Amino acid sequence: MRSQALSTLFTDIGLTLIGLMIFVVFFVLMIFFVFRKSGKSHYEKMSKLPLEETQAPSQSSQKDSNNSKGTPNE
Amino acid sequence: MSSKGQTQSEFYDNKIVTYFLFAVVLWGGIAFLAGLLAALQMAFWQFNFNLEWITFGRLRPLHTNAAIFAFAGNVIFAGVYHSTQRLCKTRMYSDTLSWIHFWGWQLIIVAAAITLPLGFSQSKEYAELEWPIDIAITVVWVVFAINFFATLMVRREKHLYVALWFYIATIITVALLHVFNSIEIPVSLLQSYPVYAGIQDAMVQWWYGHNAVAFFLTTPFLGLMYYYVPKAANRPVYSYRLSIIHFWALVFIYIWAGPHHLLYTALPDWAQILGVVFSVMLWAPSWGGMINGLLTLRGAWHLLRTDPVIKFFVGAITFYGMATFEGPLLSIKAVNALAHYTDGIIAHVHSGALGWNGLLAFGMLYFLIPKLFNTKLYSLGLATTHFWLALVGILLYYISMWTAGITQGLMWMAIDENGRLVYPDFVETVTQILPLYYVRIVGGLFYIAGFALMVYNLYKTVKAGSGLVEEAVPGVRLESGGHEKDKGHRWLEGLALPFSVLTFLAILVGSVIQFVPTLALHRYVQPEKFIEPWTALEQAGRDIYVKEGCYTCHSQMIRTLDFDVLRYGPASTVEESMWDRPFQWGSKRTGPDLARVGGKYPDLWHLRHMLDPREVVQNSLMPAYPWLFHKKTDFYGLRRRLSVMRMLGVPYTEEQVAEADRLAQEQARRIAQGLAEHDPSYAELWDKQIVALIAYLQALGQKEKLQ
Repeated sequence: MRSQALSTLFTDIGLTLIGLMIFVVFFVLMIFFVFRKSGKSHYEKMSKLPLEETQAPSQSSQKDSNNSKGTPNE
Repeated sequence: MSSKGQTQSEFYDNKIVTYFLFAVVLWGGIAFLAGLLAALQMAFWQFNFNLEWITFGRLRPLHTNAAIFAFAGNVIFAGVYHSTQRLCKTRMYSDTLSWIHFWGWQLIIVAAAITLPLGFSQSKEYAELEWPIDIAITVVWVVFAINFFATLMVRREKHLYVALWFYIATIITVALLHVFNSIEIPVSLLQSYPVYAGIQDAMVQWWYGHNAVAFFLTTPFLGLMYYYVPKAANRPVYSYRLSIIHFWALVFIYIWAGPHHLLYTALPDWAQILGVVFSVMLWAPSWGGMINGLLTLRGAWHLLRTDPVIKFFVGAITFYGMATFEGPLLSIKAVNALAHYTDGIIAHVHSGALGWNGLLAFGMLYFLIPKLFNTKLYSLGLATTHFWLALVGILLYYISMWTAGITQGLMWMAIDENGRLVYPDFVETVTQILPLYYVRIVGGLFYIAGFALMVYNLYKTVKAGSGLVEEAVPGVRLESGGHEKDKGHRWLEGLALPFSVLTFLAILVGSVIQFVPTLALHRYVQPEKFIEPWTALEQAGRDIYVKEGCYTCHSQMIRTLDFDVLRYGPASTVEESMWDRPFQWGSKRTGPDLARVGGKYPDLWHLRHMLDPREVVQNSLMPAYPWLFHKKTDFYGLRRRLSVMRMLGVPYTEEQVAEADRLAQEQARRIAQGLAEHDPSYAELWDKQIVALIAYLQALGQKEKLQ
């Protein structure tokens, strides 16, 4: 009955299964690679990449800064 | 990766960034004012001024195109050009390509601003522009892509930061969406017919339309979020791992969700359910991204009190969370039955556009302009006032439109104990929500007032600055940050080309699985049904319907819902629109559905309705169309139009094509003679556009013949 119901909704069962398989395999592999312990230092370094050029907090929070003329932070 | 001979003496290209930022301000103002005028027209029909160029059907695409491609587009380009140079530690690959991109894009916007008010439109949402402009968009986008990817190839930072991945996904996917949705056959310099018809056109259009939101208004802005929020807060992104999952899940899932725009329509059930399932799945990555953005501020929440940039960013991310909560919710069929075609959808898109895109753009402008001009922001107070005006404006807009949407949706759905509609008169459901349209205008005024403050604040900032900053590219850094060999995703982040290919494959999977079955249209068409193609005059009328943007207020799709069937007649079928290029199923009902309006009223009713809608429908909001009564029908272009249709598979005979002008004129004279029985002067209208439009309206829902 279940397959009957599915067949009325999904006329291309083969195609649907291929899609599902690609989807599941892709995400399992991705989560495996992303959460390996060996990546921790790399991710820490990458997350700081936009900040490498930054020497002061946000330009508009000038109250926190003595830099009255606003030398470029980057 | 090549070193390409960069030295310390090289500078980032800040000039191109500044130009794009100025374009943001210019086009943002125009987009918002066009939106305000459209809101005024919805509340007071008099604001159409009986002028064809700014009547609602033409103004609405101008507003959406200006907001999406002119305002948001220039925000994206400014942010991409600024952040990519810094994340790659190199100047953009080619200044020439950068400037071709800038001026090319602005010319496209100008072309859109001229052609849309003149009525040159394909009437496909967010893809209204005609074929020469479509080609120009493709060329300019390819120029942008070459410049961007060449910059990645010569970068001096080994790994690609997460913002760059979102830019990669944007550039690849928008190219794919635009090219496939714009395959059309020209019939004149500024008119074309899409190769897709009916259900195929609907499927391709909403694959494009939904993913224009996904890959033009979401992924590039997420890239900007991942770059500018950490910079403004001076904190690294909360979880880099989460950003990887966010990226791949979003790219993989988003592309499937288009069919949720077509629930309860003639689209096959399997495609509708596919759209629903993947839309619901989008909750997870969207909220993962929102949480990642907000938690980047951990330890820096105090900035929310003092720093308007952080205020705008937090507001933007919060609206991102709200809009991406609503999207999946609205795709659930039971919710969709209530909200679709109502102002609830307008509320939803504006929480995204004004909240997510707008606030993020303003935050970026306040962050970048002082830096680029080596000065402080002129006034933190004005910026803070802008934030509160924008926030109040969005909330007024959002709450009023959701209230209007739910109210009208419930009125449409109401069926009494005898099985009859409680509110059978459509206009009654419109007048009920009219006061809420007034509130929307107030909301828009708040938002625009805040924008005006920003323009003044940024102008004073630039004036106080010491000119555009010249920033040297920092020293070369080629090491990857350790001796350990890169593996897994870390390895992938160092390789721009394989990364881009994988991204392309991710979006391709969903697209192929949706389209391959849909391309076999014959499987959904019942062979015993035959739909007569439009006569030459009806086709001329249809082209006028398309040109005037009637789809902005009228659907041509009766859903398989009881209350739709009770109001409009039997549910629309796949067959009924099988020759329609473009499809006109619509997405909003400010007026009633027209799928079966043919034969419902006499010709004279339509004539009087188009001349003065309130003469026949009391309290109607529809604009008048007086120009249809003096503009002539293009009879002599009909042979070419029908021959293109025949080439595309519409079953016209050779005689119907060769005699198209004569046959159309004969039909027009018959209609005019009928009208002249009421007023002899109407006989002179036979060659005017109003007669062709009446012919088309009277044929709607009347073409099905059983074989």
